Amino acid sequence: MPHLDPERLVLIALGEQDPDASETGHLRTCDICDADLAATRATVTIGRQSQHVRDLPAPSEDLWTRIAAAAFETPETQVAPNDAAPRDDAAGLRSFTSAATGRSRARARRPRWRLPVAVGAAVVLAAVAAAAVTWSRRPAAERIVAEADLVAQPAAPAAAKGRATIVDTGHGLEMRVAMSGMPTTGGYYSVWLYDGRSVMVPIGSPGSAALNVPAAASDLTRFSIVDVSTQQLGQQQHGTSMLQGRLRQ
Amino acid sequence: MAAKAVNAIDRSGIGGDEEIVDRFKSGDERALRWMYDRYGAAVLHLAYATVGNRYDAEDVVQATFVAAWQSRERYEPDLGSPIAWLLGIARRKAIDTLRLKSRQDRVAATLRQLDSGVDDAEAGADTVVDRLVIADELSTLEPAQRCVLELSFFDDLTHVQIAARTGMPLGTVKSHLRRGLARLRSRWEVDRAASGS
Repeated sequence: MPHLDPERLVLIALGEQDPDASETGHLRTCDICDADLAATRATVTIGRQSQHVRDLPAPSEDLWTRIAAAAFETPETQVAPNDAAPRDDAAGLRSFTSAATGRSRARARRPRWRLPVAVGAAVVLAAVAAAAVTWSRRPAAERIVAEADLVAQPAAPAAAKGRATIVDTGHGLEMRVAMSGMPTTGGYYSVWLYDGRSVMVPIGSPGSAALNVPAAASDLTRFSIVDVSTQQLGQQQHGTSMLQGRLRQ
Repeated sequence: MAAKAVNAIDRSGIGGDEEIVDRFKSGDERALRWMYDRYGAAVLHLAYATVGNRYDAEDVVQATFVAAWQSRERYEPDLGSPIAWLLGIARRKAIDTLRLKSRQDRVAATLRQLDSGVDDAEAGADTVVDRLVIADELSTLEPAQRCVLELSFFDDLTHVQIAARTGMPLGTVKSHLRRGLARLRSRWEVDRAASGS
């Protein structure tokens, strides 16, 4: 029998028609038609699945601003041909995880966020009121340089939320954090600045006092994520993420 | 490879894209913006599907477009479409992010991905890349071919029903189905190799 008619093959691949006896026999012995049908069927399958990705939401203008800043404002001489980012990541990882290098992979995978988060009364931190008081007394030289709305992470109750504000005091950056809907914790909460890749910088415990942002972490384009974790007493590494948000400058 | 030749001929008909690629390669910043507008949503979708959270996904998108800009002179349009090239970069950046996190175990939100393993994530990313490439090619088909394929794929109509719906002769519908599918397939085969999946 000759090769399958191309239009017939398409209708078979689409599942509209079945091969008849002689076509089935031919497909069994002809590698060309068999491969052709298999590839066309695979294309149909992916084509049908492409329905899920037809009208995707556009990424934000903010993200473009970050891309343009990184792509166009970097002096060309500093751009290593093979992308310096992985080396930076590796260095950051080393400095940050040196305490954790001994951990086994199995242990590292354990979902530590299933911590015994104390059930019951959600505590609205007095930080909100305290921050407001501090706020009203702030010197005129201060200005807000970035803000982030913090949203609940999987380990936190859905109603948990917060807001981080970073202020330039004229002699360094300070962060203020207000939270609500957070559970009581056996340990304490800690605020971190995170570069989204490998480096997390502890900033301090959220409360009524403003937190100093170390100069080394003051590049908020790089350290653009604010994270609030629960920590056990004595725990040096980042604990369990409860809130996260990206800074808007 | 035969499919490559077919693909190269097909793409020459698209017109505007070629000029954008020329501008991009020669360092016109507006061309990167155009690529962000055109392909940013697909890159973000792949990144989100792979790393599983919005913050890391946006960082992958940023790293992808910055890396694309920095290596623009090395992009070869004959070896794959811009979307396949960008998705190839994004796929590697996203997998790198997952690998880093699997060593690092810092952010609870990605634990679900880590449990299922980076290998699963890579396989999942390949499927997502395939869908995005095909969806993009479908959107560039000539209108009649596109219409017929969309009715077949998404409305699940037979060629007879498509003929009745559109008023096209049966033979024309079958011909559009065949040519449209052949073009999707050749593009997919070339881009598959290009994106490293």
